[in-house]
Amino acid sequence: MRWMLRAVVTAVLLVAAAFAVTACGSSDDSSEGGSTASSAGATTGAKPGTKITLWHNSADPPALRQLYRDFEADTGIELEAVANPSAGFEDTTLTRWASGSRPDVLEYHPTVTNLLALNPRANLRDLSGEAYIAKSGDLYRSAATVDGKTYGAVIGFPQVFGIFYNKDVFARAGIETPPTNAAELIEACRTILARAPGVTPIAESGGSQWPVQVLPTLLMGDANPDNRWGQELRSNRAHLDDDGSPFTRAMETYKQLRDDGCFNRDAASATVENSVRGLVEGRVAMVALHSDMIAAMVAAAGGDAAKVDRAIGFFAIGGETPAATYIPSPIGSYYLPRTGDADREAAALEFIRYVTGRGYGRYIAAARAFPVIEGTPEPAGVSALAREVKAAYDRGPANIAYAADVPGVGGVMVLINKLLIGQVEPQQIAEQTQKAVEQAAKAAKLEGW
Amino acid sequence: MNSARGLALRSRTRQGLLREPRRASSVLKYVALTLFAIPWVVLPLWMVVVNALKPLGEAQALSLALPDTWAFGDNLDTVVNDGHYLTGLRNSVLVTIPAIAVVLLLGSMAAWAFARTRSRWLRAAYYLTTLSVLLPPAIIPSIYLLREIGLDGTRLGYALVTISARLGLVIFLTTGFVRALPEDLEDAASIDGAGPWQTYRHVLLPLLRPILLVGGVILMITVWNDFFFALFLLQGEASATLPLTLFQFASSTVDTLSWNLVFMHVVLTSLPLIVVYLFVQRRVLSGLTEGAVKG
Amino acid sequence: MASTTLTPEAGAPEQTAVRSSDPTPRRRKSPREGGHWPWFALPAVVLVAVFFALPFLLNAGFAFSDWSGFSDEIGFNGIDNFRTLIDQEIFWPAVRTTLLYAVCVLVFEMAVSLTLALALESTTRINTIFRSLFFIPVLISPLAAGYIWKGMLATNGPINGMLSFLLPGTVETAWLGDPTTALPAVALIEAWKWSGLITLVYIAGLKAIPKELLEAATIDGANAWSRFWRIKLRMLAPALTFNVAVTLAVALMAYDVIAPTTGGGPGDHTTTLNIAMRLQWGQSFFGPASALSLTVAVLVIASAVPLVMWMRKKEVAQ
Repeated sequence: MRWMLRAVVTAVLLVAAAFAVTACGSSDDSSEGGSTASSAGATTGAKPGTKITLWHNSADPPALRQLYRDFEADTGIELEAVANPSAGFEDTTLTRWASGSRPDVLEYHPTVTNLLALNPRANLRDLSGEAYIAKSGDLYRSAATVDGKTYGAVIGFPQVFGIFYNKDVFARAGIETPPTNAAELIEACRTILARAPGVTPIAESGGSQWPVQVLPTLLMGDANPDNRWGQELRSNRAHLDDDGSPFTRAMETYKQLRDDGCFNRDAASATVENSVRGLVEGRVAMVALHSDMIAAMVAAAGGDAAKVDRAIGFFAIGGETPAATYIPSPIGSYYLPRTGDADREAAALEFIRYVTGRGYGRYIAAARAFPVIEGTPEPAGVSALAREVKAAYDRGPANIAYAADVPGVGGVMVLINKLLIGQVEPQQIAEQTQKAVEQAAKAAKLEGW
Repeated sequence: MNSARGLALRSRTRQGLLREPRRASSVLKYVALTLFAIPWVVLPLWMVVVNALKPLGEAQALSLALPDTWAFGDNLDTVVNDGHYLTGLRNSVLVTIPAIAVVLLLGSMAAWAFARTRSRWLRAAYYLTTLSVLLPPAIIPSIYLLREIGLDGTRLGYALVTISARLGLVIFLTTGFVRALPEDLEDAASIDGAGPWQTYRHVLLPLLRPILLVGGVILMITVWNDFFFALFLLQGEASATLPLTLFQFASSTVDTLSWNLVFMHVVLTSLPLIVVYLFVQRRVLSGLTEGAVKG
Repeated sequence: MASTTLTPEAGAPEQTAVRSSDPTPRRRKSPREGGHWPWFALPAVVLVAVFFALPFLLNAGFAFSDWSGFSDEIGFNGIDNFRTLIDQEIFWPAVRTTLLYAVCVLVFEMAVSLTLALALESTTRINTIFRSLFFIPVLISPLAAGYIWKGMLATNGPINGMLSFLLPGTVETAWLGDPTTALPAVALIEAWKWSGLITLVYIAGLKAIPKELLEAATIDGANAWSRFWRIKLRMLAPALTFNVAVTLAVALMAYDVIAPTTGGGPGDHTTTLNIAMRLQWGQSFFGPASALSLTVAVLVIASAVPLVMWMRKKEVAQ
């Protein structure tokens, strides 16, 4: 029996060791609260010491996590932060949600297409009339709003889509002005193939799945001023597979680029990390991404933000004319689910008011991000590249991406991936995606279906 | 074979033919094994270790090159502190060890019943329980169920679901094993006046050691590394097990993974398992050898 | 198998039978006479029934509902979910891919494990070292295994590096991105993860083969190859079937390895049923997701259960 004794002793020692170590280790419950009450509760009736749960994205940047801790210190409310892995974020959040679990605060996509999947009418609290809404320009015309009711709060700057390019490669290929539309993009690609051989004109990242949607979305951006096309798609007045639809045309351009050899050979499996690395190192001329990926570029440059600013530029593009296509960011966008507990709901509302009010300025400064709420000074030390993106956004026209309001387009990245390997044609993509839209719209009981 | 020739052959056989093969083919065999082991085991493990030592940017390339910058301390620091490694370790141990103990205990008890019974009901129960080894877990109803009894998000709830999902395998392996054991010892014990519980403890359990060890090792590996159940059944940083702590901090941007931290975490998570395995490996094989795999 | 390695006491039943019909008073019921059995099995059965079977049945029910995140109402909708999945060309490709994947895993695993088992059968020191070495992948979590091999199989990764070294020219195959190689590649990773354990199972099986059989065959003039085919393989049948049943079940539920490596791509070439299910979940289509989950369960039952029952019969016959 000696081995058994040995095993038991080992197990006991392991458990004891684990305990001992954790005793000296972190007590990582995020409870700093209870120390000071504050003036906070005055408006919402929130009481210090209340415990609320926050579901958030595991990729929340440090500045955002600091904001959560600042909230606790300021109001005395205890915030339990539960992370949903950013890989498969929608998947995990929706699965938890589907089982009936409800956090007090939910960080999730503010696009209507994702909001509908939460059934806001039944499950979320109406935040219309809160102070921050009026101070955010016309952000809430399309973000987090359904049937005229606003359900969310957005504190992060939108993700602006566009093309990040390597300035050196462009110079070598003799491209002085970046392309502004589909035709010019195809031309630029051919130029690069001819004049800068060995460089991949456009790096696509099928291996990371979501990035392949960016380029086609850009090419449809100019077709959606004021989100008119998006609204038509959503109410069944326009269809993705209509004749001459911007969707099909964008997919055809994408196919053309592929057929011309503009993409990397391993486009179907390359990861976005590799594409970004190639861009920074000059092996890739262009990558179609969104502004939140600048951090990944800095990481690929070994943390050297100055190097990224020197090497990489940004330009907006469209199908026919350039447009700054954007999507409200999932990072820093919050909803308040109905829980039926008055104390917790008051505390949750306090959270929203804090992050859009008292705590906002400090967060913006720490994150070096652009503010979306009026009255907040722009931070110092923002990278040149980020400022270039913001300039493009301000120049406009800034159109929200077509998919923002249209439910059911989640599967389009798989179809684009199939296009990359020649398994499907642009028209088929349009038809299949339209079917999925129909499925979702009917499930959501949208008008017009 | 009684002939002289037969005798001579047999003695030659005993001496040479069935023992270790000739040296040349033996060397060749081990060379081939080593060549195979390199891409099969050595390279992947090297990749994990070497990338665990690199800083973020370098690791994103996922190469086999040695690190330019030595980031062992930084990565270790991040994983242990920001990644709440120690909490994860504590929770993994707190869930895994009791869960394994319970599965082995209840599973072997049930296996004894299933192996010896003539009852049709019990036989049906055996087949249904064994089926659970093969079926996929239904996660959403499980969450819902736990919430109804107030255990949603707790380690106890997680342990219960884990135990229920893993019982099938232990029952399956152990029942076959018990069936192969002759019933005399148990009968003898009962004639001597031992009750069922005593018979179980003193007669059966010792005999079941080999297969329980095998089952225990398999359980240890699957429960320790489980991510799927833990993701949905555990809430909050205080209850997170090791695989969960991995994801709660491994991403640095919305859409990419910090592979240096991921691999450092993999190393730290696998180490306890490797240690335990080194302890028990000889017993595992002898357990398997003693007719454990009866099917 | 056990009858040859365990005690020679088999054959005592008659003796015991005589004793158990001895009407001595105050003797506890012999174990064989039932009585306490249900209690011993009860805790396990209750746990499995409540925390596993019950959720499973609920899930099966949802497969025929229109449950989604968009609406609070859940209604019965017959086989609409299946029809939608077939229409969108998700269902049948996923079934095909899943079965193909399972077969690939099985083939790789058996090939590798059987070869290793034959090579490492005797318990020498060097063999034990090799066995332990090959066992290490078993200890690594499937998710981690996926990430490791994602790096290994990259176009500029170590595997291509090795091949470029051994073969003329440069090898830059995108193993995980090429439609033809992606599925075998992920199957290989899954096999990689478990081979170490299966090798041990086969070694145990080989060791249990009575020496006399092998000796007799050698004396009869059989060479190594023929010994392998006619005796070893036949005697390994139980271990083989065990491997097949468990591997099939694991492979049919494949997710942990595929998700980090190909995510179901390129296109849908590695989209197994479980991957397709998670994609449906992520779009809030819970009804179709449950339908796919139910399909996995049906496939598992249809393939693995007959195997297990066949194994039972063989064991009884032994």
